[in-house]
Amino acid sequence: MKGVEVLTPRFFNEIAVRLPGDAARVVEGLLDDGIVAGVPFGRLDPSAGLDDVLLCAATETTLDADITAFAQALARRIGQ
Amino acid sequence: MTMQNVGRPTRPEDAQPLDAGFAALTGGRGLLQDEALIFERDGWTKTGVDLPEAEFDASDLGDLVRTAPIGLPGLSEPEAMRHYVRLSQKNHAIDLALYPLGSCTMKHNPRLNEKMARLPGFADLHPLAPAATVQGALALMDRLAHWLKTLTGMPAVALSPKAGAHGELCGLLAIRAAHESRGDAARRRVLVPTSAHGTNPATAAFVGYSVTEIAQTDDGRVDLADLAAKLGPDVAAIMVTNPNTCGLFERDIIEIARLTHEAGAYFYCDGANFNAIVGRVRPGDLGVDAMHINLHKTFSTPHGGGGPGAGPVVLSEALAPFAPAPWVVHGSDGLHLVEETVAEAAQGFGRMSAFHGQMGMFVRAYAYMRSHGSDGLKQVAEDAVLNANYVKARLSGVMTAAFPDGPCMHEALFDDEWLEGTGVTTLDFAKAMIDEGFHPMTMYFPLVVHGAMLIEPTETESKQELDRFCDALEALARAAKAGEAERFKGAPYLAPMRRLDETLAARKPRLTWKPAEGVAPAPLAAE
Repeated sequence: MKGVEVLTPRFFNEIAVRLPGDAARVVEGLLDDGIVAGVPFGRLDPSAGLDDVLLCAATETTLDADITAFAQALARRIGQ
Repeated sequence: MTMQNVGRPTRPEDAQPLDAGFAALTGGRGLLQDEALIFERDGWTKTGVDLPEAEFDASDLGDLVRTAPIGLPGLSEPEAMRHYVRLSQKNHAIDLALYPLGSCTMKHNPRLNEKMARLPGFADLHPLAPAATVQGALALMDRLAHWLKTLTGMPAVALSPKAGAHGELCGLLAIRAAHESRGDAARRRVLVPTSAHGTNPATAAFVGYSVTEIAQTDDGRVDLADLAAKLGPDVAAIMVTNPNTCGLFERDIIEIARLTHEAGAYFYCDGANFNAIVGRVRPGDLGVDAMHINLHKTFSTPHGGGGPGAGPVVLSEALAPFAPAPWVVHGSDGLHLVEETVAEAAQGFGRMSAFHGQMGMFVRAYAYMRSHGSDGLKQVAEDAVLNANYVKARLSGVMTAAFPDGPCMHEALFDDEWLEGTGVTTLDFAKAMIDEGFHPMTMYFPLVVHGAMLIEPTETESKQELDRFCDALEALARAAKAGEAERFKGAPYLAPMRRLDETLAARKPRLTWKPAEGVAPAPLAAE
């Protein structure tokens, strides 16, 4: 996805991605789409200067359709 | 014999002698089978689940790919179910019978609490969910905090401590932060009465203070003169339990607070025994600066197997600015969490835990508060004290009360003077209670009473149940005095395990399992 950078090329169940803007705002906006997108990194460490990083996770209960819906909603939110 | 008892000799007079003359061939007792550790069962060659082959590129793991079998026991579902149910049958539980451990407040855990805690809106939350999606949970935390502050007469509360001792640590860290904020680094001592819970001096030492004991009077209270003599400009705090561990209200509590504050120190109250005064006395009115509240005692949440407890700490005006994050605040768009000790929260000393505390226990405690109401909580304290005094009055005929003059609060304390010459010790007596179907009381605590037996019946036991308990103890006491020492020295006879070497278990605990020499289990087939 254009404008989104995956920061963790190796991962188990969650990935950190850099967004083109404040991650907390994106999470807040995606709530209107019925999606809890992840944890804005700024909430975990406000002093780290990583407010544009989002931590996303999937479990064995996450369906392909969920992932697709998330990706589409995220693309809309960041203007892609 | 009533109809229900036909063919079933269940009355005491029908009881058979304890020793049948032989032991079971299998180690079982009645229908309670002997149970091996799960690692010692024959579960190494099978598995109880059928997982599909995992689809992933193992090269992603580099040299972390497992090359040896993991070595987990494999049990079928019925085997696993039976294993854990059998283990549970070897435990005593408040749902089985009265649990008279003094200082523990083992009261009934209402089923309503459990129902509320299982509501998906509370049970399925993530602590990092956006605040806008968990307004109900934040409102519950806010209302729980309101009740705790109201019941204690204190202006602030930290909900996140997860146990009584964790709460003590929270309180002393707030006290240390308050002294440090004034540049007062000279206060290095904490005063603790001789009857204190062991966690009090341990907490003080953990925070870096030295501990000085305060003497006790003959009637089981803090010795005011000794306290006054030991207070000084190097004292950071006192830690006093009220009612104290002898089950007695500290009559001089207001003077204790006055002397403490006059010396520039803070008053930490161990709130473990709050159940005796909830709804009747507000610790804030007594001059307390910080106090933990065991939700798993006074507010009926489960003790569990050592957890999860919950030990919120109420704080006075003087200590409130130093409270740890997080806490709930009201905003124009709803409730929010203050999660960082910065800006207006900069004096907070940090955090006690990663998240907000034991949410499940918050729900249970709040359900308990709402179901009792303020009048009901007052009756909780009254009934708890009444029940303890009933036990004290009934058993004082055969046992010696440690402080016979006047009523007790929520627990009845006996010493072992009445056992003199019987050859029976407090430990023997407690073990014999197990054979009679009753869990022992707290033994040998408080330390200031010789051979102490501390009984806390709580308000949730009926008079009938208290009578059954007292009948059993009276019968045992008569047996001890009649010279039946053997009944006690070998007890318990009927428990799944007989008398254990508790000293060895405490000094050399075996906390990990290792396969016995030569009988290592066959490893699961390597992939």
